[in-house]
Amino acid sequence: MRFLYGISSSTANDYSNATMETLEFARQHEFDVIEIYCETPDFIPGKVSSELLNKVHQLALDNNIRVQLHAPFHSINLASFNDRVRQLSIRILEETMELAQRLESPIVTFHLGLCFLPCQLYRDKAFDFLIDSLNQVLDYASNYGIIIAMENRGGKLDIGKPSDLLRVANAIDNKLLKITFDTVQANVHGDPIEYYLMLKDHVINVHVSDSPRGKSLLLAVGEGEINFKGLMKAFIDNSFNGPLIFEMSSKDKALISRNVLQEIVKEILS
Amino acid sequence: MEIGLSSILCLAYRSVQEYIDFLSKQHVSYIDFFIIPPYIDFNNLEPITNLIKKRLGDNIKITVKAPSFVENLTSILDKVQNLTFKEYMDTLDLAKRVGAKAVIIKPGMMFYTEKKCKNYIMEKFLEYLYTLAEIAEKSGIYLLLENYYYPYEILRGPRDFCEVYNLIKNYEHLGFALNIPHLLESKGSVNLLIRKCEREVLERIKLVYLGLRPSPWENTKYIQSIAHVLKEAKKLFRIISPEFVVIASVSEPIVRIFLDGVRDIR
Repeated sequence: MRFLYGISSSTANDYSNATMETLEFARQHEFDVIEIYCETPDFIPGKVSSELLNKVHQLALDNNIRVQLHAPFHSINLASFNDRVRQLSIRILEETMELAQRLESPIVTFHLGLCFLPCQLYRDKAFDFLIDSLNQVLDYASNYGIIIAMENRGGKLDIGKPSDLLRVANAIDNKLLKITFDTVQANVHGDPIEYYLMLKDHVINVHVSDSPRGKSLLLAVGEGEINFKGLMKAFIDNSFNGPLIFEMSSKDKALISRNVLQEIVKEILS
Repeated sequence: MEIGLSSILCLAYRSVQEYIDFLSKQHVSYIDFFIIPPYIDFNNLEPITNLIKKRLGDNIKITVKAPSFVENLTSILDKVQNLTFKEYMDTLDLAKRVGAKAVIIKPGMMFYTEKKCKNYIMEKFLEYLYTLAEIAEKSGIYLLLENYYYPYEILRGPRDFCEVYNLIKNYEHLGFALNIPHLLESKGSVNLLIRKCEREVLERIKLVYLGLRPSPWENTKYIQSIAHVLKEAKKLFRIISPEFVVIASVSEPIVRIFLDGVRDIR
């Protein structure tokens, strides 16, 4: 079983050139996938130059690197009680899908949103808004056949706890709606293995980083407290081979993490 | 010093009418409208104000807090910045129409990307802020920047008040809305604020929010924080006398406790 390993452009040093810097790094170090974080100044949906898009597309094709996108998420709230905020959030996701289509990217990862005061008091109503927004986003996704993957989130105000994701997945039941499983976010207030097993039927993408329990740091695998051996075994048992995207504070940490995970996989399979 | 109530109490009552009844019973003559649906939005604030004036008299004082959750004047995303600016402009426009004295806004949040592009972001932020300030000034309305406690806020702790003051000092109608629960939550205190900031900074605090920690804008039950928040308010009121004090909670009993507490301080 061969895992697909990828790197996020959030690891870039120079944010004004984050996408090309990461793609070049992925090429040099033979990563299978690059996940472009669409909130760096060079890669904001609706503003990316055709020249950069063509360059990224060509370089990825030439080197057999799969491109996938992570939609902007700060200020995105698909469950907002404020209609203007909801419409803007939907529009930003649509623009991200337009970029994905240009880059032949099969997956767009996104966050569902945040739960502030009205949502905290009227949670069911917030979920109605959320489902309605997602149906609009999925209509758009179906034009391009792009999978949108909601990410689990562990922050106090985040909508994205495993139970939230399952509630949404069950309410919508659309084959284009999947889950990106983030190891550190799962570790913020629970056991990542337990959470993965809850969500495994929907997971198509994984964000990898390590952290002490309860914190959301972006450490290399082994620097925190996550049981990666158990997690990789759960992936293998579920015949899930990635992509595993390294979302870390530096590219060196991604290289170390890939080596560690490869060793773990060897050990499990031997 | 006007003591008023935030309209977030409507969220607990699930009705504007009950909120108005409560204002009347408590002899409150000042309202801080927070534009958050489902009960208060851009379309219904004006008719609600008319209703309240009919019931409580034309002399009722009003301030308006703009939508302030994901809004971000310092976002790297133009669309988010533009939406925020539009909402703040609309709030100023509404405030003028209902005769409000102040509009309260959240200045902005700087996440990882914004911090990496700080110069570019700040240039755009100031352009928007000064445009809003000029409109506020023409309308005779204060535009007040409220502190928040989340780690990425640009107005958070005492030092931020001093830094932001340097950006706003030339605009007389720009000032601060000091949210005491947020200040405490960000490990600040009134003493620290007094120690770090010159008097001219403190005098720009035109409005003070009181409520439960960590935030009046969350559904919190941390009632043990009431005493601490009131104590901090007392310290502040010995030094300055802000024009407006707003009690903000989604619980009527909590509002009553704060009302009694603040009336005692005064």
